[in-house]
Amino acid sequence: MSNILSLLSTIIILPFIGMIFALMAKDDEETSNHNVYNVGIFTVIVNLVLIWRVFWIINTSAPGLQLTETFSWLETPKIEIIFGIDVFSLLMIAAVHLAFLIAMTGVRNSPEQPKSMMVFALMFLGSMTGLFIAADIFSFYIFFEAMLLPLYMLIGKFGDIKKPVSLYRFFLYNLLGAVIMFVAVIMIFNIQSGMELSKVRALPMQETLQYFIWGAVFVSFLSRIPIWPFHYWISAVASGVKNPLVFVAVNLLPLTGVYGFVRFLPEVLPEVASFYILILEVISVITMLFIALIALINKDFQYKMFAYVTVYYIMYLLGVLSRADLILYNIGFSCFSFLIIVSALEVMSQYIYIRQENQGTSTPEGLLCKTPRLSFLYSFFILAAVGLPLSSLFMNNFLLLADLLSFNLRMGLMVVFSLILLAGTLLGSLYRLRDASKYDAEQTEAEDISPTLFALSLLVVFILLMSFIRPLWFVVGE
Amino acid sequence: MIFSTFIYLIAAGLFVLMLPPIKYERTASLGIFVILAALFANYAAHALSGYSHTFVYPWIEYKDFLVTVDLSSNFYNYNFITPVFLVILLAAFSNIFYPFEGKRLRLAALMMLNLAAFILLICSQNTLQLLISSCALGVIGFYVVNDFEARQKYVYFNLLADMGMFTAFAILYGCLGTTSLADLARFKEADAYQNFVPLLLLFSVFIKSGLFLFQNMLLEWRNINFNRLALASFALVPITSLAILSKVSVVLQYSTLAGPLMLFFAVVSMFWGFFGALSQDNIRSKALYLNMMSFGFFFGLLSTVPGQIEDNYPFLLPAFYLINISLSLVNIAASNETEVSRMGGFIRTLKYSFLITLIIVFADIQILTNIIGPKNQYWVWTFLILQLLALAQIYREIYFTQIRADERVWALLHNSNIFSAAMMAAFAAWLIYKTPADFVRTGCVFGAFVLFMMIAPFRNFSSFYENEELQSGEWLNRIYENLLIAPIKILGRILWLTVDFLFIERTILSSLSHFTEISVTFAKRLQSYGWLSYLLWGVGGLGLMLWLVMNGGLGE
Repeated sequence: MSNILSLLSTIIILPFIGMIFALMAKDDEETSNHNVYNVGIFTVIVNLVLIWRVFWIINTSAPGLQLTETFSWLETPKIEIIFGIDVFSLLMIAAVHLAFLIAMTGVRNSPEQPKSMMVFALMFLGSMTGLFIAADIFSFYIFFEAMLLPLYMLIGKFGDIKKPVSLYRFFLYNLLGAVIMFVAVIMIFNIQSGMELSKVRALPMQETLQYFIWGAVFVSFLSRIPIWPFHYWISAVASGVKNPLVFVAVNLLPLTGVYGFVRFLPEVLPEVASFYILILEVISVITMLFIALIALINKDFQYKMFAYVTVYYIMYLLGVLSRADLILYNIGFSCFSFLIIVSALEVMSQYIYIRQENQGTSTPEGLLCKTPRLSFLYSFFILAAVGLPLSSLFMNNFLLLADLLSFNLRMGLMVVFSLILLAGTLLGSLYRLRDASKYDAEQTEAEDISPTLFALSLLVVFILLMSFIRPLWFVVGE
Repeated sequence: MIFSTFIYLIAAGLFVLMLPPIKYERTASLGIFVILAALFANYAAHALSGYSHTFVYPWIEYKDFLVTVDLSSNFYNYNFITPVFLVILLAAFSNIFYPFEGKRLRLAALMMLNLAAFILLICSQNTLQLLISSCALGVIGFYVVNDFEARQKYVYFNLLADMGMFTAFAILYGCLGTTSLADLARFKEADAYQNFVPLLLLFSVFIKSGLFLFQNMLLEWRNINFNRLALASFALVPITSLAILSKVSVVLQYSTLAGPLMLFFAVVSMFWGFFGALSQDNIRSKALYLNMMSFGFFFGLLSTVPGQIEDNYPFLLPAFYLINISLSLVNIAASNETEVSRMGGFIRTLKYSFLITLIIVFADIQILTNIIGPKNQYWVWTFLILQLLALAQIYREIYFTQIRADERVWALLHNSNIFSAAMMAAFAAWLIYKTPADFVRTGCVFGAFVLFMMIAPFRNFSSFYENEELQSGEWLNRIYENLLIAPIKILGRILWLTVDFLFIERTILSSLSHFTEISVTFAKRLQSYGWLSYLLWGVGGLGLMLWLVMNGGLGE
């Protein structure tokens, strides 16, 4: 064991420590359940500081994993737990933490049981962080599985799912993917006991075995991404969730699938595998179009958000499948802004939903007319979401699309078409919310967001704008 | 120089934008106009002295991806920026006195940001700076166009155009491996998408310019006030598209289809604009159709003689802007009356306005006849004749013919603000003075214009004023709705109902559910204590043993 409390292990452990503190937090009527939120927010902020520190330590232009930590777990059979980080995974961790931080501020005044919400959220965050830091197949698998339990609890308790049966299906579907992954892990371990992820990618295997193992690994990752026809379970769950923290958690799940492809995709694909990759690409593009078209006619904003998230994840997946180094770099930067935008938009839409309920109106149309602060923020995040030059999405999507278009024009154009449909959908929802003709002057005036929340949201706006100007702006000398 | 102007504009624009509403907006707008005028004086002094300075900031330096921010001062940039600067200066002056403007200060701030974004666009040396500045202009335009319906179309049309450009530039980057505009000349060597990329670019700029088939966005601006309408037409999106087209024109040269297509759209837009200007009753719609003609003319100029637009660009734009202003004067004078069918006989009260209008038309003729060359002569003459025919008809209906205005409008009819009108007249006179003149030719054309006004060859078009369908322009919306939007929505609904609901929910999931149910029932039955269960298990066990024995199983 090299060092029991190295930086990376601390980053993984901290959310779990926060979880214990959250369990112990004393909350009563006097504190209005704010203690547990403060614990959650404090944990995430402390971890963000540590992540920032890691950005300063590592060489952001060097390839490969850095700050590697090795822990010997078992001597016979020899199993070592290895942690390591590169710019891509560090960006993902930072983005997930920021997304959680934003979502936590969105549920601060939620009347639901805050203690269990925070406990499971921190547990999920810890597992996600572990997944991005895992550099060996065992710890990768453990974190890949571990996040399902808190997620299931979060959705079940706070998701407000209309059809509980879809939650069971969703869980079973993901569990099935995880079991298939487990079989693949055992088989890989039988071939070679060295379990570093970087070695697994280049593992020499028999041809038949190769197909089976890679097939199993890919199916398990695909089970996390809403690819047609398996999008149904995820859409049924994701579009039903109203709680922003749970929504963010649910919509981080596909990221684990995409990330799995980043870490596992073999350096040299077998010939037949290339054929399957082509089929996967075709299905991915069809799914994008399919979901974007449905989002256009679906009036539920949560479904639109789900569609937006799905289309972007699939675009990232297509980028990963192209296996260009620069693209991977760009996916990292793009995804950083993407997760922050999704989280911020979700918090804003939740705010609108609550205002609508308070006013007792059936639709929120015209609600932004009398709430200038909310209107500014919501408009900014929607415009950033559709890809205007307000965040790193713009520049990095440009490079990503350039690569997809030069790889296959037709496929690239369908991706662009899906993005246009989605952008139209999101802009349409913004339009309806700003439609002054629909605003009923007789109604009680909608309450705008508080100056404190507005100031915090401006900080998010600042982060996004800075990510557009220079993706790694927070690293000195970058 | 251009760099410092850019920085001042951004700083002043953002500062003014963040100011809370104040009581003395008119005075503050005057202050902004003075700042803009001072900046222009400084800018013009440098431009005339031929001052040049290179400002290149290395923005993004990835491994194979370099993007710079260029804000260099050179002849090309001065040539393109000057007309828009002039238009914004005039708009800022109008903004002080325009009576129907509710948010004067905010509009002034938007004008400064608009100019800054346009400078960024013109100075672009790479496609990304071009895209970013185009998007910035798009967002500013969204706030300038302050009518809700107009904004909706503006957003969707701009989105389509920007995504088209984004895709075209992404393909170009994929082919050439660079975003530099100077390297676009290598597009021919890439030998791929030689027609697709140019057509995509053209499609995008046509949408932004509001040419024929894409005029919906432009025509919705009839609901915004004249000052904003003229600003949006001649300093925002349509002009952006022309600048972009000029920047990437090298790509179009390799396409066999781009030239003819551009010419076709230019011709159709010009004629469509002409008939629209004659048949629309709304004075703002008339102005917009006239603008559509102008944009068609610009595109035609670009397609017939590449490069021509750059040499003659500076004065054309302010001249067309002034035409809008000449109609705006009437609109202000008639207490915001918009229907030309309720005007007529205004010459009795609006003598000064009519005089200014004549000066503006003279300046317009002077500038247009001045650019006539051997290659573009038919094109310019066609446009000039159509424009003068339309203008003659419109002015005749407003200033002459019988009085049709209602009592209130007629009673309140007055010449618009003397300062504002004098400024426009002075500017038109300055344009006449600055343009190398063939006064005989200009005089003859002007005489023809007066003759057109007297005989009004297209006066029968005013019968279309009664046609509700034509006036509302809804027919075009319906075409879009039925041919483009509805099929997409229907497809989405069909996919949702058939694939998600019918296929996955009702077929696959139901089948799986039933299959599981049957399997569970079957397994339960098998494990019951009945004689059939014993028999089945016994036979099954024996069968398994037999199979293993036959396949060499069971040990040695």
